[in-house]
Amino acid sequence: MLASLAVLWGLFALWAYGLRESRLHTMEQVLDRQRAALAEHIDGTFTIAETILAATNRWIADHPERDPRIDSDFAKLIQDLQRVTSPAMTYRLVDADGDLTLIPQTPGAKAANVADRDYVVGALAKPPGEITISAPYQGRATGHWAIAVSTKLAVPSHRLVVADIAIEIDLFETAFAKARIGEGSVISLIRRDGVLLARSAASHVELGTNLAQSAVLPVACPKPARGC
Amino acid sequence: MLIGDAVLTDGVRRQIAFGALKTYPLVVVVGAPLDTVAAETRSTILWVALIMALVSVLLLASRAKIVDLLDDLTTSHQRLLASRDRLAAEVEERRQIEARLTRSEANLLKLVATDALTDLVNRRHFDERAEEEFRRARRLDQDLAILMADVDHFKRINDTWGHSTGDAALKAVAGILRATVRDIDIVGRYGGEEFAALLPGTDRSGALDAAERLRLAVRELVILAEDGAPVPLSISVGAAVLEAGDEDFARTLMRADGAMYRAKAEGRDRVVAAE
Repeated sequence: MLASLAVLWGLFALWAYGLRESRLHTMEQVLDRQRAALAEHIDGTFTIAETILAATNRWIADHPERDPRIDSDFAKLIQDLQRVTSPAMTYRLVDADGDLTLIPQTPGAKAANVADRDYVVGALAKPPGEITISAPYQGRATGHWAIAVSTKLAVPSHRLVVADIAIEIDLFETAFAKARIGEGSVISLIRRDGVLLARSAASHVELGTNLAQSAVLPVACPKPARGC
Repeated sequence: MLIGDAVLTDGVRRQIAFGALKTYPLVVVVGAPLDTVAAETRSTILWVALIMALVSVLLLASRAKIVDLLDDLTTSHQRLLASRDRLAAEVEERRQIEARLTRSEANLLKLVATDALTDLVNRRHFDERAEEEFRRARRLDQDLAILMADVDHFKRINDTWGHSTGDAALKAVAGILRATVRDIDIVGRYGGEEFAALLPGTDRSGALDAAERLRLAVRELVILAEDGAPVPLSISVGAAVLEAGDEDFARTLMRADGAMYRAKAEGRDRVVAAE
């Protein structure tokens, strides 16, 4: 009888292990579907930002005599582009002194110097056309938390050297909130070097945390490249 | 896509799916707490484990009773097997007894129906068979004949050569009778030295032929007395066939008997047909 009970409990252990593995596998599939959908959404957002930067860079190069900060045609171009994107994406120009200008210029916006920002430093260090994605920051002009996608102008104009798109963190957090899977689930967007860019249900204090020590990054992004 | 579990910022261990974007140096991580994922599984497993534990405890607690029950069942099974074997042996013994009884009954019936000296059917059995044949012949409208034969001068044989020679003569005549008639015919010892033969499906002519063959066969028979002297033997035979007016077989038999006495009266060693 003891042998029978031992066999019975052995079978129970096997069944329990199988049940756990099966449920984990099901959850893996759910998680991966969400990840794929979000990756597509985020990729689309950054592609739009990069497209706007490329288009404006071309306009500035083609019109060296016109100051884009005050040019109404340029402002209208930006407005047209913004109309098909999100109002959470703001176009800005930075001059050689680091002074920031919102395009179109917003009445009442505070003047800000961003010469020390990583997206300015990063963009200036790279060839024109290559983009830099910043760590999250709280905007000195808007006060909003955002990520900047910046690039060095191919042809500096009127002392302007860098163009960037500020994408408000809320844009990602709204998408993340919709894609969450139950209580306690999290969705994170991490830069290749480990900086946490956005995270569902996170306080803004956590943003910018470096997760380079996480096992995730070396596996997910094994070699430095434009992408991964 | 990569799957695993990890702790990122808040100390919670999660099952995660993570993957890099193709065109930007960004990684998307989607995670759900392992505790949440496992909670339902754990609950199910715990319930089943609880039920199993309960069953195990009950089984262990009742172990002694179950062992006793199994022992009882085993003992009962063994007793049943033993009973079955005994019963089978008794059935076999009974079958053998019944077979012996059947054989004894058959032997008894044969003894009852057979004449011990000649091994022919005795008179009583001959009469029973004769009645059956009479009724069948009547029902099927068939011929039926009877021969009555008597050994001539039998008293003189006994007186001259002794009873053993007389017995030998009766056995010899019985043998001739049995050898002369057909298998379907019935031959019996009807009295001391008197024999009867019942011939189904035989008419008057056939009966006379059979009687004559019988008479000649007996006359050619040679037996020796104890002193070596040859003993002459002959028989007188009366033959009768079933007539329309015969109400029972006794009538036919009486006619054959009467014919046999006429043969005796007319000088013996002959066949006489009933009128």
